[in-house]
Amino acid sequence: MEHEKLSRLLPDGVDPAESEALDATWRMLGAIDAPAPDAERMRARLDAVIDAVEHAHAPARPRAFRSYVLQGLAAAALVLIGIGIGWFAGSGRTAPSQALAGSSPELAAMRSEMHDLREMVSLSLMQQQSASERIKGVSWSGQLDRPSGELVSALLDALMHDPNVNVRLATIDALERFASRDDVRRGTIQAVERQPSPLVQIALIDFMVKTNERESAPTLRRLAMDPQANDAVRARAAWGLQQLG
Amino acid sequence: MTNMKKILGYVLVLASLVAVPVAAQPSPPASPEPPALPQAPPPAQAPASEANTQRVSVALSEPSRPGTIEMDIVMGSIMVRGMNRRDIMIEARAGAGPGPRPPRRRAGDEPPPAGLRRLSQSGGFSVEEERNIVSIDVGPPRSIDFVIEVPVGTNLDLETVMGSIVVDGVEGELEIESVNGTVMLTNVGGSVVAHTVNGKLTATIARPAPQKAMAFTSMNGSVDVTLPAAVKANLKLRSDQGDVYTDFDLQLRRGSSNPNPNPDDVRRNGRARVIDVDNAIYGSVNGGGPDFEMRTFNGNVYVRKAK
Repeated sequence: MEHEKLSRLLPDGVDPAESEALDATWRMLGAIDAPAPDAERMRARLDAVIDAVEHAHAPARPRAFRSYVLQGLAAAALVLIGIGIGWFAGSGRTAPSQALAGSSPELAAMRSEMHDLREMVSLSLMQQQSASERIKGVSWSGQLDRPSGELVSALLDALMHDPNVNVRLATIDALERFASRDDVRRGTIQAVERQPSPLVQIALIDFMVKTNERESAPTLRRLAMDPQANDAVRARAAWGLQQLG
Repeated sequence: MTNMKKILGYVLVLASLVAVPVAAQPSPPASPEPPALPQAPPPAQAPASEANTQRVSVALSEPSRPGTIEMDIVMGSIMVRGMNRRDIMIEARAGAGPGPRPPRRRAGDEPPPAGLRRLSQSGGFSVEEERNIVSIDVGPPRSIDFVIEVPVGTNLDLETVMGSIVVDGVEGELEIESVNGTVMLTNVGGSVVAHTVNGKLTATIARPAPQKAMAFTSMNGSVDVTLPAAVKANLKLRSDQGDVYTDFDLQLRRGSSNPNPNPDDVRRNGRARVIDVDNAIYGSVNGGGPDFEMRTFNGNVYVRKAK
């Protein structure tokens, strides 16, 4: 409903791409189940905030009450941020986003909030019970231009531990953009041997070749010689070694 | 509410010295075939004369909400049909074990030698329902083929190692995985995330849920997906050793949701060499939508427009 009100506020000539992206964010927010699946993570953040507040204002009220109040405030803040972004998105800009980001510090701040919001959506989707939603979370992360370490860790975690083959496969594409990060290089090399799925193993070998990851050579060599490994995987590992030369 | 945990447990044991009389169950006048693949879905119920067959119906604790079926079995096939019903009917019969088998040569179908009666062997399965999640477990690794009837709106999370999975007429979150079997989904709706290692994957999505990502992948089988002509999606299609076919009007684009790797990232690392091994095809249909990935290593990928 908020979203429809916002759409009406949008003047003509708004950059359709950005408006569309905003739409997508709203849809995504609407689609997420009310009990946040990463409740523990949220709670951890919230607790950190509570601790900070506690230090600033002792004596404190009962913890449970405070935490509800803060949760409410956080939710309200989120809604306000959303409305704010909508407002700014609708404030008649037609120029490319970068030029605009420089034009107004408020707008830049809003864009940054927007980015955080999207990252939160992406992280939240990755924690969902449904594999379809997790895949969406993984591919959403691809739209973020400056993902945090937390997001990259979530992608690596999904690559290593997600029970669904198709989710693991999707993370490899998403991680490609961050291939130069040390944690991504280490994590993907480790994953090559640990993957139970040959399809994912092959995608990871391709990843090594694509990103020219020479440090993966010992792993690929082991895999190419491993009699337990799938034949196609061994052949791909041998090919990969050759490519990395 | 949190303490109100409602658990209904059913434990069935096939070990009965006398074959269970299932003759009382209604039975369609159909052939006594087990789920035959990959042709038409078989009849939902086994013939009345079938020995070694167990039936149990499970009520959902909240029938107004979609239930979820969870199964992770080693041997045996799974067939699920969406029906106009509120409960879940599970029919299980001892299978003839893994591997290809002629349809009529199942151990359970052979008439006993003259003067002898057949003793059912031990083994069985258990069903548990908790807050609309129905979990079906098979005890010792023994081949059991399941035919399950569910309400049309049901979520499925099915896994088998040695066996095929057939789903017909179910709408919901469908997560299907087989290692050595065929996966065949017909007339389904909602979202599908399916994988088989050594089998063919066929899916006809009649009513895709809007904004839901889907994936259909195989290692050694073809992937054949039929979608409504008006479906909005971003497709990522790839076959390493085969070809990709479609009759959709595909707007090709690179990196539907994953833009090109940033070349600066590579150069910053002192490694400017770029090898393009990604032969995936990215394209959108009907203006684009959620991501659908269709991928196989050995085999072809077919994306068909429903006629």
